[in-house]
Amino acid sequence: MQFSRLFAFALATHCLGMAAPAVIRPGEPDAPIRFEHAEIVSARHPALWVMSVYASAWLPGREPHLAIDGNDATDWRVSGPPPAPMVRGNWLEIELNQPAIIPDIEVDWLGSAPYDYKVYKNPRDDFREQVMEGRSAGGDYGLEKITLPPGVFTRAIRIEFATAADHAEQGIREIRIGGLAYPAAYPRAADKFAPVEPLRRVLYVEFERMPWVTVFNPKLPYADGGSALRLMPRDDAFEGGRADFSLAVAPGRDNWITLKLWESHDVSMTRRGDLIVLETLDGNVTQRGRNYPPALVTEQQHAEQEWYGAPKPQPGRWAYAHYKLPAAVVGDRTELQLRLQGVGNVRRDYPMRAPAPPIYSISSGLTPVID
Amino acid sequence: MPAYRSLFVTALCAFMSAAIAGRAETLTSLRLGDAVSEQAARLSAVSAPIETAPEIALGEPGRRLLPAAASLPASLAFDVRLDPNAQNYLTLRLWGSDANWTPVDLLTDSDSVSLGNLWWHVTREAPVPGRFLYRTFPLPIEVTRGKTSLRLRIATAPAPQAIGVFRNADQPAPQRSYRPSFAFYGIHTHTDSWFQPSASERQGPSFAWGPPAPKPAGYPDTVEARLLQRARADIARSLAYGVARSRYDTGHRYDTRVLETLPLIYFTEWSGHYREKSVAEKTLAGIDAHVLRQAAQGGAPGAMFYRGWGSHGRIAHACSQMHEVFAAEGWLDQPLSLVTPSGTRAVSRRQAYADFFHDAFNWRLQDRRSWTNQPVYVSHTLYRLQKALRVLGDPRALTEAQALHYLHVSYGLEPMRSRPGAMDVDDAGYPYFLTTRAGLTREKGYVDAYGELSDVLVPIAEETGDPVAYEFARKFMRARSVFRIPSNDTTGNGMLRGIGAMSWRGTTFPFRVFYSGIEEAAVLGDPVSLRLAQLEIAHGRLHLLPAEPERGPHWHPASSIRLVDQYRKIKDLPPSPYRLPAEPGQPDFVWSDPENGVFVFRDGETLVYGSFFNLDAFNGRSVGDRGIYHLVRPESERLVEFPPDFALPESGLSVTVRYPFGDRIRPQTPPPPGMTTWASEPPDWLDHRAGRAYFYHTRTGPYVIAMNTTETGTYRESTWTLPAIPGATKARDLATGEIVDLSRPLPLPAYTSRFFILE
Repeated sequence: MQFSRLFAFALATHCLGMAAPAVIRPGEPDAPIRFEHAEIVSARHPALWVMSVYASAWLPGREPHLAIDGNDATDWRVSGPPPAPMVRGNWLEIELNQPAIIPDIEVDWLGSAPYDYKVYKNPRDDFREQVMEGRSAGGDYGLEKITLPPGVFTRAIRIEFATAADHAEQGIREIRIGGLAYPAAYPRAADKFAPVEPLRRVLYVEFERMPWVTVFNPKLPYADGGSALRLMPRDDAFEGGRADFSLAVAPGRDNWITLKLWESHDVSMTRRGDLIVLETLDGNVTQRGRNYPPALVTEQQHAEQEWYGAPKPQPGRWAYAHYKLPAAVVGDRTELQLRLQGVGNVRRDYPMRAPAPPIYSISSGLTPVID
Repeated sequence: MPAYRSLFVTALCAFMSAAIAGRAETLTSLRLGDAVSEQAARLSAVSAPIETAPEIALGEPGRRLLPAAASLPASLAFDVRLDPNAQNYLTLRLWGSDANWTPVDLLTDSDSVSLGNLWWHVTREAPVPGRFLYRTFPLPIEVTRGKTSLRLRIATAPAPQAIGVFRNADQPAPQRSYRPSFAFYGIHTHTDSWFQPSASERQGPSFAWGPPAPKPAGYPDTVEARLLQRARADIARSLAYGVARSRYDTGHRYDTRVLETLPLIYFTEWSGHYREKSVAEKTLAGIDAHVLRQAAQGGAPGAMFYRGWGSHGRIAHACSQMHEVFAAEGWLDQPLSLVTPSGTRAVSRRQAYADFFHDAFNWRLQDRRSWTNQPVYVSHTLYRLQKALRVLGDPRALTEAQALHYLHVSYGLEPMRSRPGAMDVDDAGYPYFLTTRAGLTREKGYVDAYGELSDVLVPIAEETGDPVAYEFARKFMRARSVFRIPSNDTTGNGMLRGIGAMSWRGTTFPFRVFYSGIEEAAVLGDPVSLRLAQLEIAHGRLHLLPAEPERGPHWHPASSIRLVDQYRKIKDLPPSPYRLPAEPGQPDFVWSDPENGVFVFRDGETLVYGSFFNLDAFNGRSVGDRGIYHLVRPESERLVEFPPDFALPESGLSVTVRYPFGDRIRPQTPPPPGMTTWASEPPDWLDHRAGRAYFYHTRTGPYVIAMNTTETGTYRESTWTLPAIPGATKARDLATGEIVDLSRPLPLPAYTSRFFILE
C-alpha cells in the first residue's frame, strides 16, 4: 500500500516531468544515470554451455579449466600417470548443462608429440562408453578437429590419452566442444573476471568410488537477456567505478533502495568484497555522502537433486541488494541524489579488484522488494 | 538552536559580564618567607622551611616541601580570600630554574578533599631558566561557591599521573611521593584566569637567545666530517650486526632496522662497501631468517614481532631495494626449504618471500591502529609489503595507486575506516580523518613529538615519490613551525623548543629541543624546513653530536648515513626567507586549529599557545572542563588552566565523572545523523569529536578568544555568537587590526577563530 502510493506518486510526478523515477534500468539506452569506470553489459545464454570441467590430475597452476579459457598461453597440464586408483591415462572431462548431440571436438594438444587418445561419452564410469580412439597429428598446429561418430548424445565428454613413456608433461591448451558457440558457451573465456568456482564431488573411477574430486565450474557472469551496468575495478585507484542518479523517495519515511543483480559467485558480494555501497550525495563538494552497505541481500534459490550429494554449482542467479535510507536522511525530500560506488569490501580497506555484480535495475520503495 | 550551558559557563559568563573593569583584582597575595604576609594568611608549614640563596630566585625567600616522616607529610596550609560568585583561581609563583618538579596536591585543609594536582606535567629540566614561572589553577567552583574565604593545604602529592589534572574519585590513590617539591615563592588567588604580577614583584632578566653551542674538544674541522664519522661508525656497526636471526622481543626493531640499512650501504658510493656482494648476501640471509621463522610458526605474522608495526615493512623494503641484485644472482629461483608445523616443503625463494609478504599484509590489514604514528607506520608497512610483492611479480600484488591509498589514509587525505567507530561515522557522512585541515594530528587533541608526522612522512615522501606525501609533509611542517619557540638550554646556548604543555600525550613541560629541519629541508626543499635546518646549524646543535651515535631505543643506522647527504644538500643553500612566528622581532600573528581547539597568537612580545580541548578526566568523551595555555613573555612565563566557556546543541548525551569534591556531568555533542551514540573509548577507539564543543570562548586578561569549531560542509556547520561583553566597545582584532565592538554579540561563522585585545 505504502509502496504503491510512493510508486503512484513517483509515476505521476515523473509523467509531469517533475521528479525522479522510482525505477531505473541502468543498462538501457537513455537511462537517467551517469557513470564512470563502469560498462554496459548484456548476454544471451546459448542453449548449451559448459557447466564444469575436471580432470584426472593437474600440475599447480595448470588446472583443467585453463583448457577452456580461450587463452592459448594457459593450459591444463599433467606429468606422469594419473594417481591411483586410475590405471589408464590422464583425462579431461567436460560436462554440459544438458545432454546434446556432439558431432566433433577440437583439441590444441600441448607439445609436439602425438597423443594416443580415446573419447568417451556419459559422465559416470559405470555408464561410460568409448566413442572414439585415435592418434593426434603431432606438431604444433593449433586446434585439431576430431570428428565423432554420428549421433553421440551425451552430457559429458571425456578425452583420455596414454601417458608419455618418459613422463614428459602432457596436456591440452584449448579444447572446444563442437557446435558450441565460442566464447558464449565458455563463460570463463568470455569475461576475464568471470569466476571459476572449484567444488568437490565424488567420482567413480574404475568402478571404485573415489572420495572426492575437484570440479571447476565456469560461471555465467550475466543474466540471459537484458542489459545491465557493471561497476569495474580500477588499477589507478583504490575504489572502483560509480554511478550517480536521482531516485524518487517518500519523504519522512525510511526508504529502501533495491538493486536487482545477477550474481555468479558462490557467495554474496557482501561476504567476498567487490561490492556496491550506496552513498547519498548532498550536492556539497566538501560533504561526503553517507554510506550504506546492503542491509539485506536476497537470492533466488535453485534446487538440484543430481549433483552426487555435493553442493550444486550455480553458474548464476538473481540476487537483490537492499539498502535502507533512514527517514532522518531522507528528510522532507521527494527525491535523492544517490551514488552506487564499487568498493573492495565492507570495511573499505581493500581495493576493488574485480567487477561488482551487474545491476539490472535500481528501485526505491518503503520495503525491501524484489520483482 | 538550543545551547547547552554548564553551571560553570553560566557562572563564568556572569562573572565576565560583571567585571569588564577591574577583572585583574587579586584577592590573596601570600609571599612565602615574608613573616607579615605569612601571618596574614595564617600559614602553617610542616617540613617546609624557608630557604634563601642569592643565586636562586633573585635571592628571594621561598618554602619547599621536603621529604618528611610518613606520619606527617610536608605541607603548607594557608587562608585565601575568594569571590563567592565567581570562578576563583590559585596562582603559584615558582622559580623557573628549580631542579625539583614533582606533583603537588591541593586540598581543603579542614576535610582534606583533593582539589587537584598542581603539577601534573612531566618536567625533566629547568623549565624557565633564570626567570619566574606562574602556575595558575582554577579552584573547583563546587568548593568555593558562596564562600569568601577558605583554608587550603598544599602537600606532596602521589606519584605523577600520566594524564589528568584531577584524579578520578573512582581510581585508587597512588602511593605518596616523598621527593622534595619545587619551592613556592608566592601564592595568589584571583578571579581572572590571567594573573598579572604586581609591578613590585621582581622578575628575572628578559630572555635573549644565547650563543651557539661550541665545538667540543676533539671535534673535527667541519660538521660534515663529524657526520661522516658518525655514519661510518654506524656502517661498521651494521655490517658487524648479526641480521640473520628473527625474534619476537623488542630486539627485532634493531634487527630489521639494520636489515633495511644494508641496501643503503650497498648503494651508497662513499660507504666503503659500494656494491659489495657480501652486503647483498647478508641482506638475503636476514630476510631468509624472518621468512623461515614465520613459516615455522605456521605462517602467523602476528606472532612474529612485539608491537611490530614496521618490522615486516622494513624487511619488505630491504627486499625491494635489493630485488634486482637478488634476481641477477639467481638467488630468487633457488629453493628454500620451509619447515612448517605440517611438514617440510621446498619452494623457490621468490615464492617463499611472496607468501611471507602476502600473509603479513593480510594480517597487518586487520589492525591499522588509531592514532598518528601508529597508523603511519602500519600504512607504510602495508605499502612496502605490496611493493615487495610487485617487484617479485606476485599476482596478488596491488597496484602502486592502490597501495598508496593506505598511506593517504595515514596522512588524512582519505578518511580512516579501519575501526568500527570510524566506520560508523564515515557511513554517517562525518568521516574521521587522522589529521586536521590545519595540519595537526587529531588524536585526542594537540600532541607534541609523536604528533609531528613530518619525521615519518618525509622519508615516506622520498621513498614513494608520492606528490601527496610531499604536499602533506610541507603542510605539516608549516603548521608545526608555529610550535617552535626560542629558548636556551641548561648551559645557556640558544636553541628551539617544541611546545608540550598542552599535549595530551606525555604532557611534557618544557618540551625538549626540537627542530626537525635538516632531513625535511633536504627532501621537501621548502622554506619552512630550511629555516629550521639553518637555525639548527646556526645554533651549533650539530656540534653536540657525538662521534658515534647513541644506540638508544630509536637508533636507526640509516638516519646517520642519510644525514650526510642531506646535510651536504642544504649546507650551502642561501638563507631561507621564512621566519618562525615566534622568532624575535616578528610581527603579531594568529593561528588556530578549530578541529583540535588549539589557538596560538602573538601580541608584541607576548606569545600564547593554548587549547580549549585539553585532556582532563572526561578524556575526550564529552566536553571537558579544562583548557590550558602557555604564555611566554620575555621576563616570565605562565601556565594557565581555565574552564572554557562553550556551547553546543542539546544531544541528551552526557558523561559523569566523580571528582573528590563532587560529580560533574558534561555533555556530548550530537552524534552524526543516523547514529545514536558515539564510539566509546579505547582500546577500541575514541572519537574526541564527541567531546569537542561547537563553540568555545574565553576572556583572559586583555584578550578574548573565540572559536567556532564546526566544520563547513558537515552536519555541524553552524554559526555561533560570542556573547556581548559589557563595556568592551573597543577591541582590536589581532589578525586584521580591525576595531570591533564586543559590547554587542558577535556572530562567528563555521570554522572561524577570532582573537581580540580589549583597548
